[in-house]
Amino acid sequence: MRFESIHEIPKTLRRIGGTQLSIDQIEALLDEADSSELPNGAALAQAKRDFITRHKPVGGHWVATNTGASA
Amino acid sequence: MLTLNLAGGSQADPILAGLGLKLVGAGSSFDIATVNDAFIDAATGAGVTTVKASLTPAATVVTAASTGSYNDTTKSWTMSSTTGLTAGDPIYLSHASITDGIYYLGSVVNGTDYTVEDANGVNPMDGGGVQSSIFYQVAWAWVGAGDAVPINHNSAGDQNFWKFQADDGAVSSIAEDSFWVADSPAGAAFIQIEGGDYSGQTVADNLLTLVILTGWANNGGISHVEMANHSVQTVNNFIWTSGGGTGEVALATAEGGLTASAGDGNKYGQLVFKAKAGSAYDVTADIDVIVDSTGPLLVLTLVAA
Repeated sequence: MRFESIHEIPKTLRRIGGTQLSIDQIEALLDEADSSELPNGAALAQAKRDFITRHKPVGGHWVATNTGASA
Repeated sequence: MLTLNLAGGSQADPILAGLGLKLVGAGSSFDIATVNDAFIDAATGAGVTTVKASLTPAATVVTAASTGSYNDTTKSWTMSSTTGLTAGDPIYLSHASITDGIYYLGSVVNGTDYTVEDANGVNPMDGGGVQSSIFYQVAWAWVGAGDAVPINHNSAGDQNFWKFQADDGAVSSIAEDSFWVADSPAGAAFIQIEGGDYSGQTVADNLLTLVILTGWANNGGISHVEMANHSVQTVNNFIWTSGGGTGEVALATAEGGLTASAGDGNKYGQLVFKAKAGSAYDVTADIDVIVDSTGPLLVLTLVAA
């Protein structure tokens, strides 16, 4: 794991649409951005959009909507 | 409200026109894909006067990632690429060991390494050891003199709106904020020497009080003052009373007063005002006083009456 605490992650990246992300979800999102062929900030933005398509907010948390997505 | 050394927040407390300004637009979510535009306008609302082509780094440079690192031995930071970046360019940084926010490139070391400093020239990670997983995205600045086009300024104080628009590849965001800029006032309201005007006043000794922009709560954003030769007389007859010399000093030191050269007569010089130590932008004012420390010669006598 890259991060031991949520406090190592910028506040602006701890939530999407007001719903909290877990550390694992953020790390997966950043890994996707890092491996993207898109340049720079566009990679993270696309990773967020991809995340939203694979998850839905439930009870204040993002939950995977299909198999294969990070919980 | 945007301020320069605390000045600029209102018409009554403006920035002195001519001081150097660096207007920065940045993203704190590290996902800016495109800088759409940037404006400096006289009114709020839709952008009118674009300065996108003048941004540094260029609007096309959007470097960002979450994988930055810092080497406390070399004091260098590492990013994916420093292409298009130059010293002084802003960058938004986030890491648990620093305060998230806008910092500046102290230098570009090579194709991936750079140094960082805060607004006071301090490396925020100095002494903090090796660090990784630093979030970064370059930010963008308009840099220039506060009386240069398209900055709005006049004697009463004029409001300027700094607007920055960027998108993440799908959704665009725009932010705007304002600051006030005013021209130098006349006479002692600008520079007060011995409680009076800074030009043509007769004073009784060589130690002179100095107050700069006395009616402006934050001195127009001036932080440093230097002395130079009078632009017409090409001579400087003053030194700082506090510490001596004529070099650049902090505003508080400058307001410790002036010492005119020994002897009576005309004394000439120039004050150079800056918003930052070593700034390439300044506002200058020629000063001159007449020192007349000698009273009339009196004669006493006693004769028979």
